[in-house]
Amino acid sequence: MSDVNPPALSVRDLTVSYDSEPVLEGVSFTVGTGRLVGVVGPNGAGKSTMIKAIVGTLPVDSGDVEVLGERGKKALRKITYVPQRGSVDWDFPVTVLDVVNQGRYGHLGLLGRMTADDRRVVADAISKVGLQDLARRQIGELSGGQQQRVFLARALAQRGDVYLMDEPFVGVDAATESAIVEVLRELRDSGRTVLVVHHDLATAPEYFDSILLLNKELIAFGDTHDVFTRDHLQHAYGGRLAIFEDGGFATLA
Amino acid sequence: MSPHELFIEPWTIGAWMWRGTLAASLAAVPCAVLGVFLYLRRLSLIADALTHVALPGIVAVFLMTGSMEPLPMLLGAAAVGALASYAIENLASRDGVRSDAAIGIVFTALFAVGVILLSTSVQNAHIDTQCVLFGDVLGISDESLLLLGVVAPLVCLCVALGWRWLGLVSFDPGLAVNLGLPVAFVHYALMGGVSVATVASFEAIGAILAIAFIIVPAATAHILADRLHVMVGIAVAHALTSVLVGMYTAVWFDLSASGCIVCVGGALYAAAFLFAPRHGVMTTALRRSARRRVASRISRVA
Amino acid sequence: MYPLIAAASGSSVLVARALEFFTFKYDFARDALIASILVGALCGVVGVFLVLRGLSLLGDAAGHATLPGLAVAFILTGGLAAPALLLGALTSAFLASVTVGVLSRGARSRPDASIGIVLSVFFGAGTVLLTYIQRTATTSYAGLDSMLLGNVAGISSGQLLSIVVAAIVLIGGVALTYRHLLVSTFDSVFAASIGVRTRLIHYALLATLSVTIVVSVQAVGVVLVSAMLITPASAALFLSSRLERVLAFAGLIGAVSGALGAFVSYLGEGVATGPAIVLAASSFFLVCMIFGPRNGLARRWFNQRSRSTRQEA
Repeated sequence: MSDVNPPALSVRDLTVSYDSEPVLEGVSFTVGTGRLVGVVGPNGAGKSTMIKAIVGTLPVDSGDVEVLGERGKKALRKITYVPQRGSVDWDFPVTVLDVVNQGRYGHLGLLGRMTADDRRVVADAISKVGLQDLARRQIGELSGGQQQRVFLARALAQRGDVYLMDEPFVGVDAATESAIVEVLRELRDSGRTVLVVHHDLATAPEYFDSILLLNKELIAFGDTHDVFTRDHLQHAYGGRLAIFEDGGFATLA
Repeated sequence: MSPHELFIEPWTIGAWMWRGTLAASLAAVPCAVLGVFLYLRRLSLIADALTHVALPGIVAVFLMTGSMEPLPMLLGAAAVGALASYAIENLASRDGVRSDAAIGIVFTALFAVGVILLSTSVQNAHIDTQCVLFGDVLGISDESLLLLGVVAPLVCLCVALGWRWLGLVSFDPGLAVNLGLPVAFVHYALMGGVSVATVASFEAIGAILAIAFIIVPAATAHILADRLHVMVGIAVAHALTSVLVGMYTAVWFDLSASGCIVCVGGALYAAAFLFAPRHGVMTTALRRSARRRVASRISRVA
Repeated sequence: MYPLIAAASGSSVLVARALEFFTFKYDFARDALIASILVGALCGVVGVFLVLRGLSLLGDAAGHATLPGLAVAFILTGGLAAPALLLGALTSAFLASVTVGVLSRGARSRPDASIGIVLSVFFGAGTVLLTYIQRTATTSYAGLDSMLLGNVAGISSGQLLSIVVAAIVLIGGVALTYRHLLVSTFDSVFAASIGVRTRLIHYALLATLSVTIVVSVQAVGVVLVSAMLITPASAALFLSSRLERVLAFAGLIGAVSGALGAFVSYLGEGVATGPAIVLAASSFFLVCMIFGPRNGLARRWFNQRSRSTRQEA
């Protein structure tokens, strides 16, 4: 069976350190296709580090990543990575359309031209996030929520099989947040696998089918109601956790 | 060549070795001291701009007064320096201009004006293009030496008096504002100090090499020191060592003195960058590989 | 004594001289004009990427750093042979830009200070070598002096050829790899995730920068070449919010500045070309900053006014 239907993403024994200080130790997990997974853990737990290590933008000490049965470059081509929004230069002379076009660049290679197909994919992605009317705007002229949608549209235009998103909800208004969740669910329903780094414990159970609980090592991974137990969360968060009477959780500032 | 000929004789043939070393030291020490604070405040490249715009300042004053009197020269250069740093900050704070580009735009424009005025309308032995670019340590004039003799102790005295303010503003401007320190005043005083020090040392080291006298000692000291006063001490030691070794090299091989001083300073920096006991690149690399070896041995045992 | 002012005072003389300059009446003037235009355009285009990547002042360091390379080449070959000088300058400029990167990554180093250190120490080394040449050279080293502040009138046919080739190859290369340059400049993490070789592009850009600077030093000089990389690009950023157009505008501004600067230095004997070209570019920057459609001061002021009148109404 496993040869016919390899898992969407399989990570084995991933260890990463900065300056010989380990930030992620021996993380292993396997996600099937069509799953929406939240990556949850306290600050400094190595959530972003794990994503970056999987997409290969960070050097790893050890570990093995397999995407739909492929490794190395072929695996990377199937991944769509949505980095955190902070690093972008909003003054940069590009329009919304220019940015979403970038989603096709990986398929075009160095010298290929955009085909009508590529343009259709881009237009679809832009309308899916509701930015048709702003396509010709320079990205700095958009609101924070709209900016986040631009990058979501770029990710959609990539048409990857596995989506890795680093804190897509940071600095975003409620309308955009629910629009993003909507798009993520559509992706899942069309058979894609989506991993989302998320720091809000209150909304996590509502948004995700599965939770990957992380604090330097893998604490727990599985269906949301199995992972979101008092024991697991306390293990991950220690004293920084507040537990409400109705069963909800939140982190203490 | 005997050691005596090499080390002692240069000091006995005329006064130029004494004068040159004195001039270079008087130029280097205030630059190194101010450089520490500029470096810590991440203003290294503003300093680069300020040293360049000393040229249009000096030329403008010369065209207006027709003389090279030190006081108007200092005031003129300080005024152009203030204008330049205001223009840079103003440009950099706007949307559409990147802050590092702002530095490059402003100082190159002013420097270009200075060079054009210099080549079309100034005839004076003490500021020609060669001197602007490289300085002339060994041929320093009496006026310049005197100016350095006044300015260098003055700058050091001001730094000593404002020590606590400078340290806090460099380390944590936010806290300094909270504590009610005059942060803007300290900032512009620092800029003014750099302008004055650059103008005073202009004839000795020129407009372009001045930046080496400001940044390189501070950068070296930062690798080695963990406390502010130690850092200033190391920066001054670096400056004086560079001057002495550089002067000897220049005399032995008949080369540009300011260039030699800068090269020696650069070599000292490179040595610190690579081999400093705690933060050197080679030393950390060695330490890390040693730790890795231990770790792999442990895991093999386990 | 005041050739510039004297020339400007009789406007008919000025027109006549402009005519003889821009209509290629003299061969040397034609070469100078072509060289300045191409250098301006090339610097403008390459500069856009430099400015957008926050490396504006790296160009300054690499520019100053050509001096020791030029001097070493002169010492080794004993003359002003264009290929040797180009190679020497190229090596030291590239070395300088790589060194800035290495120094910036060390513990306790500051990227801004690294640029200043490399700039001044390389230039200091160049100074030392120049005095050595002045003392020992048997042949004329006057050509080396003119590379400090630029003297486009003294351009040799070999230098002109290298400028033409560099301009065609590099601008063509930018056009061909435009998409990868755009995406890796805009969002390098994303670029790496779709398989763009961002490190390769970074080093290719450093090499491009070095070549650009090296072919430009005869025209604008090592001291001010950075201005031609920064100023036209920054001016063009006020003109459009699309990268293609910014590149075109930057090239155009650079080219026109080059032509004007070459003309001014043709008029005024003793005016180095570099400062003249840079001053022309700085004037364009000022105009673009005030009247540019994107973030320009005039537009901003107008927007603010119309907003406040709307609020009053």
